[in-house]
Amino acid sequence: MIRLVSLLLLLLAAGCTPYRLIPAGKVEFTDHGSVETPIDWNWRPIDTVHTWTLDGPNLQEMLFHLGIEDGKTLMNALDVESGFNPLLVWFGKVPDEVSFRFHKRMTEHEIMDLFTASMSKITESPVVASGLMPADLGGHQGFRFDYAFVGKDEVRRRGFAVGAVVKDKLYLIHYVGTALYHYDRNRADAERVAASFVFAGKD
Amino acid sequence: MISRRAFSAGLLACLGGCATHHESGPSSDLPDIGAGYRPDPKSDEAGLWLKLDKVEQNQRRSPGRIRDKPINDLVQDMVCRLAGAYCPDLRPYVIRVPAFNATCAPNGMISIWSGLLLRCHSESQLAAVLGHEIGHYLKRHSLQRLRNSRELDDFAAFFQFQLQGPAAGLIRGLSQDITQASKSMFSRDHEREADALGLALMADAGYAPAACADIWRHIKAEDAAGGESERFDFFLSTHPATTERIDNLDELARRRPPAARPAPDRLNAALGPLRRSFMADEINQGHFKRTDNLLTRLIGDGIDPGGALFYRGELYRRRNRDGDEAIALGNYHDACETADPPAEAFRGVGTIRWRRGETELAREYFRRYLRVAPNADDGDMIRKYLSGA
Repeated sequence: MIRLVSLLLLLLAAGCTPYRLIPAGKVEFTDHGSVETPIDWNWRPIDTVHTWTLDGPNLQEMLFHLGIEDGKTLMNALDVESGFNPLLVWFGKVPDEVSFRFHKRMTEHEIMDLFTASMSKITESPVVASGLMPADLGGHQGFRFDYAFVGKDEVRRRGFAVGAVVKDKLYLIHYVGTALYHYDRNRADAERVAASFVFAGKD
Repeated sequence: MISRRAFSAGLLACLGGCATHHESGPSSDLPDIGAGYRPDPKSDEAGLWLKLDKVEQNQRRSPGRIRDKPINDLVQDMVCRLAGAYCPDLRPYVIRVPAFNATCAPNGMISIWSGLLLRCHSESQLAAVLGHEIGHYLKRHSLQRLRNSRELDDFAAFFQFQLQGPAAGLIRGLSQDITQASKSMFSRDHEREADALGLALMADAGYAPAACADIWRHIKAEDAAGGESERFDFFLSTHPATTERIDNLDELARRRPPAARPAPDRLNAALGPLRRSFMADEINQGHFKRTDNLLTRLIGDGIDPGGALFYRGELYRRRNRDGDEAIALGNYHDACETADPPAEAFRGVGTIRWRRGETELAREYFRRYLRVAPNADDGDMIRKYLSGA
């Protein structure tokens, strides 16, 4: 019975998920920029993040955090303070929770740390980043790094991220997949997508 | 109030339910487990063990298991010191979970969470928790709770099935509350028994019995710092109130004769660099006040002060309220001056100095970072700062 209910809930959730085909070619992100993808992807928005996948989000995903403003979290759902009961806050009973926020004066190391801390919250698993180095995003000086974690499902995953701070906003593109197969299979496609990023107004 | 037909149907349902159980037994006054014990395959206890054997299989090969030899050797040795003849029946696993907890399953699987190890200042404090868990195992508390829960649920189901009339809803709710409170009280009695037995086991093994209350004092202080003072609920709390546990453990420790020789303390050597990775996991949880209390305590007690100062700096830098950057910088500087500074502390100073436009000072610390960590995987980025890009 529990299995049946779980399956029904899963089907219901899948039915609600507005996946849309992203055909190979140019893809525009309103107000932020565009990329060129060599292959088709499936797109759905999660919170403020554009997410792409080929075989399913648990197998591989490409995520676009575009235009994160000063003082904001990487995703709205990570802003725990916004969910505090205002009455409790008024009486000084603030829960012992802080959000990890982007600040426009952050250095590359601090942004990588913001990313791993945020991802650790999302995955509920320790996320470890390595290999921070200078890189280019859409013609702007930025950074890239690799990351890895073992999720609650006990599957090892690897990822890479490329980012830059432009006009006080953070632009971060990352790709993650199962370490055993999916990461390597489409890494080159993901690298080409990240390398093709063009900021809006630069066409 | 109860019709004859409803009573008969309820009785049949209850008997039908009983028929599906394996051979069971009493929920209280069970004999202690014997060394090398295996349950009767037809018993409900065997079913419980079978389920937990499967959990243990997963735990054994889990990527979340910490396989570091020194800490695994230490906890295995401690379990054997504490459990004596039961040593071959108990199998400890160190698991990377940043929370204060340890468990002992009835089949002998002991899980020790990394958040517990981080909070133990001495081997005696860890022995206090392991002794408590072994106490649960010896007294077969899980089996007792399983049977007690089943007895109460069966009774409540039978009782509720018979209820009719306008007051039925109210009485049904009341019976659920009473059932829950009974289960919680039963569990709290087990915790008290495991506390007393754990203290006896660890003191007999040569550990300092005062450590049992000390570790709970740490947790109480963290709870208070996090605004969660004494979370006790008569109906739901499966453990006694922390204050009660501290008082009881202090009293039991006072009754013990003085130790003949100092307690062993191999914990800090065995944890080594793992402690810093546990600190990193801790700050990722986003609990500012609680974590600040923990790290400040570690610094004060001289438990890896270099690591604790660095991560306290990270905690403040991440929060980034007015004045936090200065506190972070102070902690990074203090970490740099300890006997075993983390390389990242030099980088932390460099990063903040760089942001403040103190370029030369920043570069000095970046150079020190590379001297301490010449193979750092972010070397290219650091060299970019040094080259003036």
